[in-house]
Amino acid sequence: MERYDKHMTVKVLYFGMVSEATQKKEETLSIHTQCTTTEFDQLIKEKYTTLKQLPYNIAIDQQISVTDQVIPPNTDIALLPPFAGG
Amino acid sequence: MKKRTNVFIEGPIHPSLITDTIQEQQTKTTIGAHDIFLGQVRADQIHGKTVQAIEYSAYTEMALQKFNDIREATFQKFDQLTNIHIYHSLGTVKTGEICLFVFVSSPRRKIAFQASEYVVEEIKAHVPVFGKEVFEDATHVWKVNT
Repeated sequence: MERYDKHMTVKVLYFGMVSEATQKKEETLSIHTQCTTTEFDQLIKEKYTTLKQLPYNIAIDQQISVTDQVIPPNTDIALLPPFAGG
Repeated sequence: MKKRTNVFIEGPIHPSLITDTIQEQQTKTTIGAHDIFLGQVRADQIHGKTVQAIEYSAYTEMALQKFNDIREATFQKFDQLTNIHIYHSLGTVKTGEICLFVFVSSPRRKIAFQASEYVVEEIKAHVPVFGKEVFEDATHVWKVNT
C-alpha cells in the first residue's frame, strides 16, 4: 500500500446545505495521492458525520465526478447539494 | 461566438431589465419572435409555514462556465437563434419577485418557444445554484429542483 505514503493538498468547497453541515465554506485538506472520489467521500463523511444524511455530488475542478475517479493533485473539490436554480 | 453576458444579479431582477432588453432588440430587424421566461419566487407552504424569500448562492466559477456551455449548446441545437440573454439572481429574493430571466430571439416563433424551454430546463438541471427557502420565523429549508 505504498501509495498511501504520499500526500497532496486539495481545496475543498462546500455549498448550500453541505456548507451548513460542515459550518465551513472551504478548507484545505491533505489526502493521499491517488485518492479516489469514493475514498474521499468516505473520509469527508468521517470528518463531518452530519454529511451522512445529505444528498450531494462531488465535483472535481468544476466537473461532476464519477465513482472511483482518481483525484489529481492541486484540485478544487466541491461538494454540491441538489441544484435549486431558476 | 456570441458575446458572454454577465448572468448573475445581486438581489431580485427588476422588471425594467426586461423592458430594457426588449427595447435593445428593436434595431435587430431580422428577428421576428422573442420568447421570455421569468422565474418568480413562490410563497410555498411547507410544514405549515410560508416561504418569505429565497436566498440564492452559487459555485460561481462553475455556474458561469455552465451558463456559457448552455448558451453554446443552445446555439448549436437551434442554429437559427439570434440571441440568448440569461440573468439569474444571487442573494435574497422575496416572494413575488423575479429570480430568473431568460430571453431568446429568432426569426420565427417555433425556434424561440423551443429554445426558451431548453435553456430553462438546462439551467435547472446543470447550474450549481443553491436556494435557501426562508420562512417568516427565520427558519429555513433547502430548495431542491424537481
